Amino acid sequence: MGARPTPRRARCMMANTHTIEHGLGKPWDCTNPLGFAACLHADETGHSSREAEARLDDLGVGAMLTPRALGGSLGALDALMLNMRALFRRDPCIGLGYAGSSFIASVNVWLAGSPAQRAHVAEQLANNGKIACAYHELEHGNDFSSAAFRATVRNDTLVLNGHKQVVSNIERAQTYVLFARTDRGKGARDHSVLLIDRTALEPRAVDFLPRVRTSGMRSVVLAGFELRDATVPRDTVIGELGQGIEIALRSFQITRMALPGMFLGAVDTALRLAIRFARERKLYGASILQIPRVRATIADAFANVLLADCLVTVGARSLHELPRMGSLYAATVKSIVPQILLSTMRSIGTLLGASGYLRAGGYGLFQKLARDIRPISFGHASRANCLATILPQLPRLARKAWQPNVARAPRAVFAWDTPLRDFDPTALSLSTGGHDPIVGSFEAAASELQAASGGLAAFIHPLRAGFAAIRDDAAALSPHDCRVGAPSSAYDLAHRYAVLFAASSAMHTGASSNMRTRGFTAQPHWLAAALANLTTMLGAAPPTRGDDVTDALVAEALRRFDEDLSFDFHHTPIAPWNDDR
Amino acid sequence: MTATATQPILSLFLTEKVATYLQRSPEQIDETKPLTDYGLDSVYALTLAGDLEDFLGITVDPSIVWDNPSISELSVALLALTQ
Ligand SMILES: Cc1cc2nc3c(=O)[nH]c(=O)nc-3n(C[C@H](O)[C@H](O)[C@H](O)COP(=O)(O)OP(=O)(O)OC[C@H]3O[C@@H](n4cnc5c(N)ncnc54)[C@H](O)[C@@H]3O)c2cc1C
Repeated sequence: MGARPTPRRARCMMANTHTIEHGLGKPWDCTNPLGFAACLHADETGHSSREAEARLDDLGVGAMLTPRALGGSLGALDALMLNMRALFRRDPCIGLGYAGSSFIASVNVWLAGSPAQRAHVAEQLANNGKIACAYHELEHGNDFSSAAFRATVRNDTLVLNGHKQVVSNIERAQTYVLFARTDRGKGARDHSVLLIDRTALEPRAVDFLPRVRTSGMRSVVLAGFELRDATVPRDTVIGELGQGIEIALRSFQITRMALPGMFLGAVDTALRLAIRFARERKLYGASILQIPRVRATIADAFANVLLADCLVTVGARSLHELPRMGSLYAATVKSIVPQILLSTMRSIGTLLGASGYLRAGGYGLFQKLARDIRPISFGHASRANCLATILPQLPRLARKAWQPNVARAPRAVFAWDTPLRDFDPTALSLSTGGHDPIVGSFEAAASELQAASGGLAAFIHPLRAGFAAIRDDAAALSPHDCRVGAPSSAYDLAHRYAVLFAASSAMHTGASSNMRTRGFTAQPHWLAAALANLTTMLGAAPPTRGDDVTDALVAEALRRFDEDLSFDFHHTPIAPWNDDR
Repeated sequence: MTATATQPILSLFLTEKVATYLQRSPEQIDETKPLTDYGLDSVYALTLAGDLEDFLGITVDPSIVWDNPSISELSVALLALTQ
């Protein structure tokens, strides 16, 4: 592993993922309540076991989600993402059901809650309580600004009426973060977010709705409730009355950025299964790992995991360094990273063939991971929703931000050994002000990378053409083409923007810290493969890459498999796969 | 631009912008009506805030559009912001 200097925070971050991996125990130990066999059993039965939950309680996950100022360990967002990724690597149901949904809920409170509300949520989390995030109503899907659940102000109280559905943990949570309509209008000041304790609800006013069964995430209990004239104190409002949409839009900048980086853990495990399979499976007298097509699939999957991690890490770090960009960059990351991860999962599925379709045995885990990962694209802001957030910003960015000599992103965004500024939640904004330092510096990134690594020129070239094209197309877009009812081609433009964001982030990261250090990600192979995959996503023909790129990627992936290291950029040690099974 | 912004200028600018978004003529826009009545949602508020930033040369948080639903209210609030 490279001789990269390890700053203090990074070491502490490593210690945390290490503690989590260690706490989860050996993955292939059949007696481990958090082993793969137990996770598959939980999937079959639709319930996580008591033993598993008890082991997770001992890990202190709640503190991980709680800011340091409130007694927890939450500091840098990229570190949180890595820790949560370790849970998703073991089982996405643990990641989302045990921790992720409480994370989504609690961010609302960290950002806008009163000191008492923050202390309350911190205490709940410290005691391993779950916080349910009750935003969703089936009638309205992603269109949460149409939410109909009513909270009517009556003197010093709020009277609650309506239903929330498909909410994780709602049946067992002690605390709910609830999104409710507090005014009649059609504007953006007609909703509020409430923090409600279960004990504050009179039992006669609450009906829990039947559990909703899903094809993936099956051991996460999803359900809903219906409230009838439930009266709660007015001080349950988070922030001010009418601020709901604003609080949601700010909170989503953090959660939409972080979730894909957490889900990445599932693809890490799928790739590990694929490598074990490719080595074990003998056909035509040899391991299938000798077949070029199989090697290319593994190389691509590995490059995509690195690319996805690069994007979520750049995204998370940009929230510290460029908080004003959150509204744009979170939607961008949430639109493209799920796409990369899902297509990787599909190609791993093709490689595993029938083995990936079995429900038990050494590869039975794959079909579960493939089902569990799917909500990444439609849950908590669908891809369409994210593209629709990007789209109206493009004409202005084309005019103002994608010009030569615009301000560049701070070094710390791409040079990950540079310490980050503390996260300042008050700096999150609803709009970028027409700035876009990451895509705005696309040309600079391309030139610098090309200078540092001439062999990549052929891979950079088609993306440059893509950048020139999007600049023209975005400038020609009328505001009318940016509505929800925009033509499909406009959504395609937003998609191309996200691809170029990815290319610029990868090139900057490549040209920055990692080119100066040693180790695999300092070499150009992963970039060649990642940029070629992005070119395909742009709808252009990628250059043919040489066998050297595939060979280098496969060799590094095999090394990480043998040494029990994660496949992401951070190559952290994972609980051993290799000494037992 | 900031120095010359007056309420009539701001109203005129807003009316023209809203008319463009809606693909109507400015005469069809009532300055006292909430913009949401025309079907302009929170996404348009972001676009409008961006256009206002470019016009006025100052930072305009989109929430000002949410807090001042009609063109006449908004132009008063914007005038206060520029002064
Ligand atoms: C495992 C799991 C856990 C969950 N946990 C929670 C939870 O804890 N709390 C909670 O509140 N909810 C939760 N949910 C609910 C989840 O948030 C919703 O299911 C989801 O956000 C709504 O998705 P939808 O497909 O109904 O979207 P819809 O909004 O109905 O969209 C459907 C389709 O319409 C199209 N579309 C929508 N908007 C646009 C647009 N602007 N432009 C173009 N096309 C568009 C797209 O094709 C989109 O896919 C959970 C769901 C799952 C599966």
